[in-house]
Amino acid sequence: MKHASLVLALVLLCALPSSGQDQGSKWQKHTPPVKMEVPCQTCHACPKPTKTDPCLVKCPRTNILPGYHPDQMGPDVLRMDDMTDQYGPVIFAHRMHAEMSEMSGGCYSCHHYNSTSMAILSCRECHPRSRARTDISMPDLKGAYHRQCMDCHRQWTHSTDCNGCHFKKEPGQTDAAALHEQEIAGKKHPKVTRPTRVVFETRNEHGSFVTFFHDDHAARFGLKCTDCHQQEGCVRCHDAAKPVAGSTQIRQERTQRPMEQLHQPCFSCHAQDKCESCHVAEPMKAFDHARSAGWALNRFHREISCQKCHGPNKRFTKVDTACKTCHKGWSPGAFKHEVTGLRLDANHGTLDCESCHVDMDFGKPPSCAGCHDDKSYPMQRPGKMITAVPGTSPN
Amino acid sequence: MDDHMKATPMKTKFITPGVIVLILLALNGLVFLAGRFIFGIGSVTNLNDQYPWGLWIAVDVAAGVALAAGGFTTAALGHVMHQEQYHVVIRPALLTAMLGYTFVAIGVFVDIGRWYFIWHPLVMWNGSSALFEVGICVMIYVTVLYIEFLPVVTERFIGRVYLPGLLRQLNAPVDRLLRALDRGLSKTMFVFIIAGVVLSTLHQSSLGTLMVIAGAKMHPLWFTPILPLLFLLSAISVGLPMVIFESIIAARSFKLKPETEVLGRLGGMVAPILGVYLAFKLGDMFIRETFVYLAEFNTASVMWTIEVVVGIVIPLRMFLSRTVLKSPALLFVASTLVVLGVAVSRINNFIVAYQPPYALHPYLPSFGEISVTVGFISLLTLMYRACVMIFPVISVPEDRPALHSKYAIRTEKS
Amino acid sequence: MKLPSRRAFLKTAAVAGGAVAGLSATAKAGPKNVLSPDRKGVLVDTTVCIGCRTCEFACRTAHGLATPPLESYGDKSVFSAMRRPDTGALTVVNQYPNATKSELPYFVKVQCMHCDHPACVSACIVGAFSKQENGSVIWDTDRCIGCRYCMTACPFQIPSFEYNKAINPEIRKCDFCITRTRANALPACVETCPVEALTYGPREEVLRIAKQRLVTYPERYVNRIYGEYEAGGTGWMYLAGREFADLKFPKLGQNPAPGVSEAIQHGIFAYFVPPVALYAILGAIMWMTKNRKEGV
Repeated sequence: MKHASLVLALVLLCALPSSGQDQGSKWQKHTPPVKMEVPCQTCHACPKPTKTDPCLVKCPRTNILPGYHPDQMGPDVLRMDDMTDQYGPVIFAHRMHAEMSEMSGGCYSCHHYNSTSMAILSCRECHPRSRARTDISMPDLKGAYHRQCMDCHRQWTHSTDCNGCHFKKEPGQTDAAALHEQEIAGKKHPKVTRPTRVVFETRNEHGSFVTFFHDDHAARFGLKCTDCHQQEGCVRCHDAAKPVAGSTQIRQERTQRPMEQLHQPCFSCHAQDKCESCHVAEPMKAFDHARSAGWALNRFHREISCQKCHGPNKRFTKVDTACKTCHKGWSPGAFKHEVTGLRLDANHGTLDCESCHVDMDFGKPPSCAGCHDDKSYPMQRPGKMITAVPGTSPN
Repeated sequence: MDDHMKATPMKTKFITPGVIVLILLALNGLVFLAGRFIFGIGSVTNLNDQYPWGLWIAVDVAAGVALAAGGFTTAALGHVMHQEQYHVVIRPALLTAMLGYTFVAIGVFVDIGRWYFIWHPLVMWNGSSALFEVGICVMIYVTVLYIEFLPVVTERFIGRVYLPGLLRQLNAPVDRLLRALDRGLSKTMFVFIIAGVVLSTLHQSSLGTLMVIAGAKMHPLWFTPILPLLFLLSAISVGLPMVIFESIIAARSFKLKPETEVLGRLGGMVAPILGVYLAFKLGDMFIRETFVYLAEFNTASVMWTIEVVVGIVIPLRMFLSRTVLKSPALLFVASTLVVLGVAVSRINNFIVAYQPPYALHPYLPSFGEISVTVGFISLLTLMYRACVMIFPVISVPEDRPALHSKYAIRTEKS
Repeated sequence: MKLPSRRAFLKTAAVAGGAVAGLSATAKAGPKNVLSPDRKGVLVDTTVCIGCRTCEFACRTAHGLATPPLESYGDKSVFSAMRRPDTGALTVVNQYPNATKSELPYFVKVQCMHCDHPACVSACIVGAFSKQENGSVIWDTDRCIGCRYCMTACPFQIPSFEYNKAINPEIRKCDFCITRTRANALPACVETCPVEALTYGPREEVLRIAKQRLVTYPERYVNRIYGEYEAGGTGWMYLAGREFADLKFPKLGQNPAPGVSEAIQHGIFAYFVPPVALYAILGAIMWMTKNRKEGV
């Protein structure tokens, strides 16, 4: 459902710039009486909407269509100058904020409800401009803007200073806001620095240190950022008072959060593990396949995901290290040496594997000593190097 | 009794070593008082937004009103119930009440921020305010007390108006005025006497109502809806001990023989009243189950214990004893305990029990506040001494050399 | 004391009684104390407040109190100690830690609660306090004598006194911006709040919205609206993310603060019957004891 609606939203959004007739094809299709998932009055203000006058509610207060376009499609920079009394306008880097919001609630955190038309509602379309009003059930525009901004911005800067976002109105001065608008237009969020290793200092009885290999989990297991980071506070990355974290982060966990909550991200895979397998006396060293499995990964194997060999199970089991276990077609004679990037010349092409790869151990460099006294690999090669095409299956 | 005793101005030297000490204390108080009027209340007191009322309200006003209760209790006893044998103590009690209430009024005047608006309650009424009732009753009662005291003035000065210098011409008109007052008052005095008793009952109890509205901020050992009743009972029970207390001090000061028999009989009436007061206080405590707070050891529990044990239980037992009622010294001790007990009770209700939220430190009166209070008490004592030396207040046996009696003056002139 | 004749006694007593009875006609006179159904209220959502203290600046400016420039209000060091409203600031914001999200502490704005049944209005000796139709509890400088009974009575410990002024010291407290609201403007703090943590409107409507928020975001709030019932209900009401006692709100019952005291007062002065009756009884005793004495 989620994917379907996302696709639908995308399609509809692409149709947006065209004429209004294409708009909301899904909605125009339904003919009463139709069993919709939402009651009629959620979208229609009048009891009997017609095709010519659908009397659509401008700001529906229920989620109708869960799905937003990708952040690249939103506006880049917005100039918010609805109410500029004491302060000048705010230049809002919409796209950059949309990118950042991926890990903290996404578009929904600002655009809480979808609209009945296909356009995504901006704040000012629903939130009233005047603070003195009869309907006080939702905040006015000024309140809505600041509520969205300030919870992150005050954590980031540790300040509630107005001039961080607003350009103060100074008569006779150049339009600083316009300059700023040009300055940030088209800018992308800088690449997020990812730690390779995070060491948590805990108070666990089995051992103080829990070492989390972020790169292993992210790269090797093919996890996306949002797989773990869904409701991240901005301050996780943006804290003006803290230095930017390096590749190894040491965190002293002193939270009051309950055990389950604290371990939830790990338990999705590590639920069967004992405490002492993570809580140890020293920070762990990075995973080394040779050390842990007794079988060093060569340059090809290092590149592929663990599941490729160990299967999709979350708990990996030992795999037979014989090539044939995975490379089904690699029987002597059928093996094409080109896949390694080295095409054997005519002299070597007919030799047994063992002639160069001692004991059939392909992890070690080949030896020329069986035949040649004066040659050694890789000073001399038994053929011609060709460029291996990465990503092609060696099967 | 009346046949043998006669109210007479005291003839003795005004200045004594004790009087000099009192004058110094009064002057010290006046210095701080000047500070209060020049620089504001904050410059002299430790009061703040959390503790708006302190020593001046608790002692100068609340305790002052309670300890002046001798005026209305003796008036009720002597005039309303016509227990003529107690007439010897009525005038001293009246003078104490009159001066006491005068200083209560001055105390209020000093404590309120806008002293020049002290007359506002007369024209700006708020019927639901306990303080308004206290204020109005005290204002009227002070007037009534002065009216009640007027016969003492007329008695002293009719036929003896000798104004100095140019004012000499006014001698005759003033004398005529005094006589007119005397005639008019002798017919209507009973109205004022009853009014005085009614007004006292009203404001003595309403003084207790004052802190009821602060209920949430009051320590449960003291807070009860029957606070007004407890205040009234304690005021009635301190009235006679206060009379005994000052009578014995005056007797000693003027080297007279204490009226042990009268005072003993007065003392005999104290025990039942104290008993009723104690019964209500403890009864209320058991109904509200506040005795649990006595298990804690803190200022509140200690002060409550002092108030009840030292101020009520011990003197109650003493007043029940015949030995005590016959001994001026023991009578004095017992009366002093009741007087102190009621004073502590007022301090407890207005300061100790009042535990406001957001207070950073508990309130302790400043040196300036204490100086002003002590100064007022000294001044009051000095004025009492001056009054009994000018006016016929204290009764002495007839055979002592005395001024001409009121009756004698009348016949002489008419 | 010489007693008058029976006839004179009755005559004088009647005159005195009449005078007292006459007073009772005016005794109901008191300050304005109305509980209009249209009275205004404010909902303070402490989970929304960001602690920018702009309200403090706006309040001082609106009331002509001395204030440093707005920029200086960003200084967070003031939160190290709890502050109370005083004569120089009719409202202050305090900070309290948030146990689950330490980086987002709670902020609580403090000012007069504008009670539905204000203790200060009931207590004031000269009726200098009044409760207006729009819900404001205001103070009248032309009446006040500076006795500070309002401060003793207030369950929220709000009124503040100018202790260091010898002449015309004032009682100061939030007046719900009565001059602004009379001119159909919003209270200064409500108008300026950047996040609209303060929702201003008819008290009933404000209360409805508060209840709605408790239903919509149960995980955000403790399930209680402070001020809905406290001290008989207040004009200003609060929502919070942690127990109100932890945010230093006084623990109060649901009875109006002046309730017991007014019941006693009105009991004692029910149409002046008890005092007049006491007067009559004492007069009778006086008369009877006198007769007995004369009869002997």
